[in-house]
Amino acid sequence: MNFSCNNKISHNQFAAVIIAAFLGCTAVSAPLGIIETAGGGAYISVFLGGFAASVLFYVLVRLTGKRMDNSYENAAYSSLGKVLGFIVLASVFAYTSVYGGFQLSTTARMVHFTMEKSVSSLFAAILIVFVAFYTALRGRECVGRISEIAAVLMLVFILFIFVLSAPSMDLITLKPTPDEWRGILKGAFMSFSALSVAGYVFIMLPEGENTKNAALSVFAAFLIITVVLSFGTALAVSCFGVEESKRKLWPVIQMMNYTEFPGSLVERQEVLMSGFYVFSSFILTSLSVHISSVMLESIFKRINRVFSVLVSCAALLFFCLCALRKGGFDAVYSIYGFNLAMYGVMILAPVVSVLRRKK
Amino acid sequence: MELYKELNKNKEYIKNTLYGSDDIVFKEFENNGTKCFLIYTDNIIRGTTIEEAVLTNIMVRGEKNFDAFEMQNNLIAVGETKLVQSFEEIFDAVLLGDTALIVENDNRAVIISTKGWPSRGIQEAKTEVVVQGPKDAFTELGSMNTVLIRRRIRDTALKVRRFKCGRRSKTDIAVMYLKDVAKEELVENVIRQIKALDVDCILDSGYLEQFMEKRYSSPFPQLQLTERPDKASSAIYEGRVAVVVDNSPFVILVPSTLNIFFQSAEDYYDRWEIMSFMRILRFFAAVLSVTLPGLYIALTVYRPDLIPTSLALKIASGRAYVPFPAIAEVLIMETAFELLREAGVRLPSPVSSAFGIVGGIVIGSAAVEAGIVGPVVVIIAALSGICSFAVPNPAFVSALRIVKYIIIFMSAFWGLFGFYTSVFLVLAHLASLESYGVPYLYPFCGGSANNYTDFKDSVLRAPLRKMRKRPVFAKAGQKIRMLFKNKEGGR
Repeated sequence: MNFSCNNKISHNQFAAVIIAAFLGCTAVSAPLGIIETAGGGAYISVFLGGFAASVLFYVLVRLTGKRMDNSYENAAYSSLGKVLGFIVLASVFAYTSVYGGFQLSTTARMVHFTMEKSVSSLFAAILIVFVAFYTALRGRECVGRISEIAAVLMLVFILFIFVLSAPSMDLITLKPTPDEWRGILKGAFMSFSALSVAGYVFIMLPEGENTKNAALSVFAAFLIITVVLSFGTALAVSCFGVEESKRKLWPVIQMMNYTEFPGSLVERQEVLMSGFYVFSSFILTSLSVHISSVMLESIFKRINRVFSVLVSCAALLFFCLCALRKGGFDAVYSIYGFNLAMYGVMILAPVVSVLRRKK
Repeated sequence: MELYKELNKNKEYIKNTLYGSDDIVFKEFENNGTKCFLIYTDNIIRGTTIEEAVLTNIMVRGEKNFDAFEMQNNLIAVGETKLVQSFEEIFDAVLLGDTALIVENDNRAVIISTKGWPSRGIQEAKTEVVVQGPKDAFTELGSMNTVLIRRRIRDTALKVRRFKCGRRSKTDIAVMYLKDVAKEELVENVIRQIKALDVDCILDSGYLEQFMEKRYSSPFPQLQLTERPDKASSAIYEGRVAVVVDNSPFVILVPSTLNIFFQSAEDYYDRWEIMSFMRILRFFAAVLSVTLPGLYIALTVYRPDLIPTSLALKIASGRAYVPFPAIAEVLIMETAFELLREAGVRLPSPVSSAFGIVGGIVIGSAAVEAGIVGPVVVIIAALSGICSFAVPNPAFVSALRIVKYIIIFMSAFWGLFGFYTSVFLVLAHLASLESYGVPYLYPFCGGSANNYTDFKDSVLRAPLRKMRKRPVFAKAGQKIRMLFKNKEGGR
């Protein structure tokens, strides 16, 4: 049950948040680098990396979910002590702000280049943060509910595209050559790294009402993202060819333009597709702001909600500006290693919590 | 304040308090030498009851000196009577249409139920018209409205909790629910909230609705108003609570979700296939009515390359001689449509429909011919307006009208990105709303709370036989509402 302002989300909403927030963002940022590394077999990389991430998250949630204290913040303080707990929470705040800001910069650039030339990247970022401020202020339930709707719409739309595009797939292009396997494995690691941002789940999870089925929800959500992303990558490579795909900034989205829709009233479908991406980005930004504001509130106990959300928005916008100056899209790639390192920091609290209880 | 033993003191106090109210009638008479004092309000009582069941019995048949208690039990031939001891209770009763009888040397008064308000008879529903199904609608008489509901729910579990609200209006409120189906916390929450209100008056259920809403700044209605007794009864059967407000022909139903505003009473009286189709149509119409003008601006002004070339050329040629930007065009037509709608409401009903059609056609074609707007904008505005009428709930339609303008302006400023942002903002707002603990977007959000069974009565309406479970509003142990033991439907 997710009713009555209890600031909890159901398992299905939990899965929906993961799908809605990460499907769009990974669809944009992940494939390009992976295609560059893995070539025609990029879709295998995406699948392998995604599947590995799904299994890992499943195992971690099964192990830690039940045994954690009632919230991530409490678990961090009770298992790591005040000083280490403070460092972990501050790191999570920094991480969510950096990652959210970098992803926001990608969205802002996409809005400017693909959707609306007259809207500058900076203004697009500010508008998205404004919406995220409203959503985050309304709490976790609001993010969960809107994700439930967005995830269903996104999946239905994507399924529709896949059904229309699948018959025109060139399977020969997709057949990996023996010398590509090293690249495929490297790509799989990149894919795993791209999905590791979902270290977020540990922060959301303890406030889910019942952690019994949470692991299954997480696994299902990641598997859906993996399958969709893998299929999308295969379609993009099949549509453009390996070399052309490498030159495309957003191959999965740009592929949309070449898909024939029977009776469509719109000429450039990729602009509509980028609408889904923007929706996903709204949710990811709201989620980032919400989580970083919760971290702030647990670090500074007396801070009020509006102020913590405002500070989180400002931090996110600051990192977004930094990324925009640096080039936005490249910035997201440059934090793959950072993602993994932070992933380790994030799971530190629940793992120590589990180990202590076992003793 | 307590009554005195001396009749003269009581008379004096009552007359002083009610001084200047010429509609209050004071009658003094005797019962075997004992002085009596009768007070009632003219025109809102049944005169025959006072004459036959009170005055005749006391003045003619009273054989010995009775006190107030004995008069109540031996002489007054009215079913509903009670003894009171304070002036406040007397004033409340008299102003409500009851009659108060005070006897000499007694500090108690008998309140006799003699209500006989002038009222409008039961008429057809005006705002929730159906083709198939009962035609009766609630009236301004609260007691009549509770009867209309009770007629449909002949169950001892149907409870009616009555109390007054409004410091000066002292409006009668009746909270109706099925004791074994509605959640106790919901019922108590509703009653507590109404009782906590400290306002001058409650003139209509619309007043109370606004006070009961948690997010009163939202344009979206969070409670449902209905003038149909069948709809109110159906809601009570589902575990919801009905709040009947005296002097209002609309009953409040609590809690309410967005999905409910798309349901019409006749959805359940006709076949499920056609009604499911109507439901899809309503949802589609609502989306279209809100987004169409904004999308038109975003596409024509900022991204004409997204429109098929032939259509883009047609739109461009239509706008060739229009001196205004697209946003002004849309706003002119939308304002004209809103004015026609508002004027149509004020006109007598036989004239209003003709006025709407003629006004729409004349203004639309004249505006195109004069080169003020392009022909496509007329179609967009008309389509958006017509679509909004497909939604059965007027309060929800009003909210959609406001939201439409937000989308129009954001699309005009920031094109397709503004359009997407405004749509997300509206969704986020809807997702943040709750009605007495139930998410506003239920069952589209949080449907797992009732194992997704409430989807059977959402965008599609499942066959009645398949809707065996009560919705999420009902108590946990009261989910099953129908049982079939064989395929023919027998038990």
